[in-house]
Amino acid sequence: MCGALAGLLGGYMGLGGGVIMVPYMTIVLGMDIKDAVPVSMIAIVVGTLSASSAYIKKDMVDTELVIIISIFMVIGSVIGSLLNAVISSAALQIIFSVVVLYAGIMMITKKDNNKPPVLRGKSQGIFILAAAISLVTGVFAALVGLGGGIFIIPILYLLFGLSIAAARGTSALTIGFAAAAAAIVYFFKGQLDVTAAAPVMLGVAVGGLAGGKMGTVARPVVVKVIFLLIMLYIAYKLGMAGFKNL
Amino acid sequence: MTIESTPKNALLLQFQRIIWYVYVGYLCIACLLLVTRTELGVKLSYWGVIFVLIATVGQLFFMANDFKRSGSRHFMLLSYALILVILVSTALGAWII
Repeated sequence: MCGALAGLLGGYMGLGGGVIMVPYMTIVLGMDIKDAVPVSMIAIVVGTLSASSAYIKKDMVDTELVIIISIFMVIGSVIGSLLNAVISSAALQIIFSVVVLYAGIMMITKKDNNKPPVLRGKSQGIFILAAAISLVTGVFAALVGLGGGIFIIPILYLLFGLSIAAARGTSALTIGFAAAAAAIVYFFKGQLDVTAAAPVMLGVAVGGLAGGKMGTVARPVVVKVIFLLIMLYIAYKLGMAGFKNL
Repeated sequence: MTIESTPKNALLLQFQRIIWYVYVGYLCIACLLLVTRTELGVKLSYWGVIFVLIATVGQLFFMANDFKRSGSRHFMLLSYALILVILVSTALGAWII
């Protein structure tokens, strides 16, 4: 049930669904957060695998950006997990809560671009910028314990000028690779409870496919409002956690 | 920036469709066996996780082939580079942490 709900929202929004899964598993099912995060990671992989096919079918995925962002996000995630032991996350959490809040407001106020990105042509500069931002996003996402979709969508939408639909589609495929890298580490360290993961993965697979299909026909205004609510929630949680850790 | 699907991402799309049916069927069986508390259910879940991770990396091979077919040689090489980055970084991550 938890997986299906997370898959549905994640697929619809182009996010991983960890925002739903981790709180549900810890609060409702009483799982330890250290057990819930690896299960959430492998479920994100399944969810993105299911949801992204609907976006690809509808031409809503920029596969070139996916490759560039994924390479640097994976490297950034690993650097972030290594820095996690030496850097205090309190200040980062507060800074990021402000950044997420700002991005949320910008997304709701910016007019959606309906032109396909192909019209703007290719430039090397945009790929270099994508690489640099993805690396930083990977580091910060790993430091604050998030999948990255909540950061990737605003970047694609605000900086690269993708439509909200293309940004969600591109994000849906991208975060799966970064989550897979994290899930492999958890799996080999023996931190992934496979018996808990199987039903969540099944739910996410079904929910993700349905969410992805719904997401391709979603109205941009509805998506933006839901996204803003999620971003406000994340900003609040990050900010509160940051102030507690100070 | 190009947004293309068919025929550029045809192989990836086909792979995702097939793999979805395979792992949903597989996970249904694993979950049924887990409900009946059989040891086989645990084993199937374990291999299910491995299967999903392999499928994720497998997607990149199909993306690379799609890039090759559409003439994007640079992105084909970058797809293989991503596979290498995932494997090396996770191996390093698991070894260091």
